[in-house]
Amino acid sequence: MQTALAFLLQIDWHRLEPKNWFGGQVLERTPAGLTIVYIIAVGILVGFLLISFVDNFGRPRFLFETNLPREVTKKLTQTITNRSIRTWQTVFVLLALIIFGFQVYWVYFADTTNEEFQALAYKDLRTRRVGGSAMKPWILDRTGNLNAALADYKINDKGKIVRNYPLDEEMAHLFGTAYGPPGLERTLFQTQATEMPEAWQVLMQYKKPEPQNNDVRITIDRNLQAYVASQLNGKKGAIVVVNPQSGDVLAMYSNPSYKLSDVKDGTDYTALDGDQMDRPLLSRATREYYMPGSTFKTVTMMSAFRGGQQDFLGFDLPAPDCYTPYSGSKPICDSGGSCEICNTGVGIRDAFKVSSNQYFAELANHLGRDRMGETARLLGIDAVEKPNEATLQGLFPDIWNTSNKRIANSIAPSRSTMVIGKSLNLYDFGIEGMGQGLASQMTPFQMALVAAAPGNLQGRLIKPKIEFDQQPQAFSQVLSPQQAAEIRDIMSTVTEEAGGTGGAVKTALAGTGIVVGGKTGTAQKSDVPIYDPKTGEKKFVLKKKQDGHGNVIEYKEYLKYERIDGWFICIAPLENPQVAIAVVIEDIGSKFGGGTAAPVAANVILKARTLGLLGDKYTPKAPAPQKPKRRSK
Amino acid sequence: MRNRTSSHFFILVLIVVVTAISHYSIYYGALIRGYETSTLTAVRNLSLLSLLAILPIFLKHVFKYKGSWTVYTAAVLLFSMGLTIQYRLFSDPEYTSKNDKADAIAAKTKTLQLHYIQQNYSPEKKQMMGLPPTPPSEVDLSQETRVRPPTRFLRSFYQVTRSTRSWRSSG
Repeated sequence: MQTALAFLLQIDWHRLEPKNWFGGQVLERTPAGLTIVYIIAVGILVGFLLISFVDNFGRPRFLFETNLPREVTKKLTQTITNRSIRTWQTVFVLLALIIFGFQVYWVYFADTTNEEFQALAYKDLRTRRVGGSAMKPWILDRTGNLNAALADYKINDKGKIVRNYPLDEEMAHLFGTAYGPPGLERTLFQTQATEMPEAWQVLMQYKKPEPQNNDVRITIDRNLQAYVASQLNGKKGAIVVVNPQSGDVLAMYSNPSYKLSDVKDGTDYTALDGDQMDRPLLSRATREYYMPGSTFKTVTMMSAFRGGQQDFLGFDLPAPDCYTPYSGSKPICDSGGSCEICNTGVGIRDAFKVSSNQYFAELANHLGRDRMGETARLLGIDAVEKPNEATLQGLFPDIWNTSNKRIANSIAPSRSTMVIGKSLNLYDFGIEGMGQGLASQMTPFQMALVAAAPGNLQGRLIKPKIEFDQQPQAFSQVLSPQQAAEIRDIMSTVTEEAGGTGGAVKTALAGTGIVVGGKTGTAQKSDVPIYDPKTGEKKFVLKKKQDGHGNVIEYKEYLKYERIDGWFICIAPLENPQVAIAVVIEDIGSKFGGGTAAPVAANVILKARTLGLLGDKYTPKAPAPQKPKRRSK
Repeated sequence: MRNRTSSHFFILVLIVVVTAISHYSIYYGALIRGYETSTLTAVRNLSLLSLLAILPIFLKHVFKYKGSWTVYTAAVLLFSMGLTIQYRLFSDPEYTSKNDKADAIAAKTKTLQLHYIQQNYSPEKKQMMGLPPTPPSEVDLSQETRVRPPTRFLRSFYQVTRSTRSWRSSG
């Protein structure tokens, strides 16, 4: 007895604790392991019971049944009843399987394939609870430094650990909130952090307590993003900065924006959603359609090069003739209602420099719809047959180079379109070729890609990417390297040569040695509602009219105006472009894109230079430390 | 498998064992999330199942029962599952509280987050968050403070046997 007691006392009972069976260093392994043991044991027990049940089930109920022939037992009432029950059993099992299959679809497949499901996923309580407790990786900017984090964690005044956004308003459209359509915060690492692992996964995958570093680097440059946002302070518009060689999105901002930290619940989100005057939830960079104005002439020019029509000589005549596409048509004149060059035999270089509407309208008609449509498609613009189709194109996630479709869906731009159908007459199509009329479905993001295509040294449109580690991937071969170089040279006339519409850029970059190629644009958008800044409601006047019975009724007539938007798209530095930029500023009044958007782009280029994004050649050298002066005795 | 009482007694004993395993799992899982489940309630549940496991022997020898045990054993198995689920849910402050549910969720969330930070974050990251810049290390649950069951609801085994809730009546 004493020996047994001594033996028992020698046992280290702590070593028999379940946490030591599965590896207590990883805390979750113990409950996970025990859960699996429990499930297996319950499975075995259920198996025992089933065997017992079947054994009883097959046994004759009465002794007289034991020796009866099979044919006779088949006709017994009990057997017939059982057959009927089995039929019903089969029906119910099938129904259960159908429901189970339905569940499997929603749990495993809808999450990756169904966009609507993704958008509504935030309403799932389990997802929200898991998302709340799981710590997401930090999101770092392209430098990968912790100090340049775009999303991290902080402990707030109440001692709560909360997600923190050092660039809150600046990154709101890219990151998105916990409500509404998902942004990068809900898609970038959903599979890594917020998905609850099953017990067997915990046991199989988390064997050692290895510190995890799931931090994600994105292509955005934190300093550039902050600077870009500051450039739109007090203005409505958007700026997109892309590297044309790699597709890296360096900065993308839309103003007005909102603070992610202000959206604490669904009510906050709904309030922002209801702001129709500023529409802060809308990313104007990717989801707002603008009339591209003369920046679209870059597309027409690329189309001319692709079709070997770069030497086409057109007219640029004074009013009232200007360019008249067909007899009886309205004339198409240059800005100001007359002509810029006022000559016949105008070449593409001069026409692009001064932004001749007449030349590019004529060129578009000369090239034809198919050729223009083909170039547009290579640039990611959908060429549709009818005007009403232009508004039905939805989003375009395939333009993105992402590691999974969920990410692409969350930041997908609206599909830009142009109409090339036979129903358009030469006037309409000519207008479209110069960036007005039915070419009104362009996003700033798309126009940055239009600039990026000739900016790529190989003439390729590289798919934009947001994940830093993605390898560059081409969307299309738009131009030959030679054609791209020629177009870059022509684009430089706008900013570098006297008489070019983007001369402000050269002035701003004087002394830096950076040569820029670009295109200005000024576009009119009609029927824009006027909002009362005090109430945020649409302005209207009350009018009276008679109804069918002769009664006088009052109705609201909403006030509208024609808004002028300023554009500038560009690439820099010209010999090896590292940035392709699209700037759009809404409601510039009587100014032009060259005087409003172009200086902003120049500032962005200067900032990119300071940050070393234009290459070592242009990065300002830090002043050498001065030698300490000798003290005179 | 024959319809022997001994076979079913064996299954019933197994049910008691697996229920004990599940209760320990719930207890340990709760510790990870920063609260503690009631040991007394676990003892109550296991005692109840043990009684049910022994019952067939009495029924056979005292009342000479010779019928099928399958339904009885299946019922006890389902009952054990129900007890396990009840123990899981009613031990969780998040589930039982009514007025301070948000606080209960926040407390659990913060415990999990601090564990994650301790295990995974570099000293630099911890410092940036305003935490002591320690290297990643294992979590020692025995060193942690946790929400303990209020003793006023657990004064006696008698009270526990009457209660469907493990330790808390309402928030």
